[in-house]
Amino acid sequence: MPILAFETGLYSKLSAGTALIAELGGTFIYNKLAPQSTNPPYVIFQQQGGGDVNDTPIRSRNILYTVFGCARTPEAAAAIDRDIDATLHNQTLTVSGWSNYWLARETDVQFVELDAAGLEIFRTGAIYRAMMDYSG
Amino acid sequence: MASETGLTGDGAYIAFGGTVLSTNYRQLTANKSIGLVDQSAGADTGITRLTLLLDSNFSVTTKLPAGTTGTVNWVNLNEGDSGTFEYGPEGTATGSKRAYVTAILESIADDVPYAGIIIRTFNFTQSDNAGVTVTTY
Repeated sequence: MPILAFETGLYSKLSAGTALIAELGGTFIYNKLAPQSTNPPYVIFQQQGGGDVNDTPIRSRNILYTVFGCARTPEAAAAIDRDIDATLHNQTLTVSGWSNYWLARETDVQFVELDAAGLEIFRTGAIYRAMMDYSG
Repeated sequence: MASETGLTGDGAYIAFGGTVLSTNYRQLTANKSIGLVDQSAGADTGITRLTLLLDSNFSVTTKLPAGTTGTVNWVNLNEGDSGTFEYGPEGTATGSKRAYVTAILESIADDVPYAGIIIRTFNFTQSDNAGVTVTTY
């Protein structure tokens, strides 16, 4: 399962980022959605687009993932984004069955939402592009 | 009316001098041609032609693999190399289409983008009086 393999590798990379974990105060990294009533700060990653390239006999994927920090202030969200960037941009993921040869930040993402209590959650991050070849 | 099934290149076999090029290829362009000369006479109202020499050329675009693994690496094919260029668009199963010709590797071109896959293109030119042999495996 290429999606599961990639997301496992992405989570492992993020959770190994010591500065990021220190900024979060723990391994508060979630796929798509934080558990209900989870208070910031935390990191969310989610699939944004892309898939198989199908341009050579060797299977290859070109995918986009949004990874952003969530916090009660814009400054805190930006600090998490800084650490995410350092952890991911131009780095390599370990993806089971695949060889990741490109991982880079592309498009910045920034928005704010209100939680159930009407409090602001600031989200700052980016869309990252990953390219990988199937290695078996 | 009888139907015909389309054919994609995902199972193609491409090789030159025994080096397999189809492992990580993106595109093969094969051109076969014959020279023509005008044999029209002065009073003719339409052109007539005679055939001259057979010719062919082939362009293979591949991904350049990392490190020294893979057959399409940094050193094992060089401009000026001579060998048999062959391709089978359906692969090498018995009965599949096969074409081959003696050719010279005329040029190698690398496309190296900063944020993309490095691509190597090999251009082969026929060097065979017999032209391309079209047969089956």
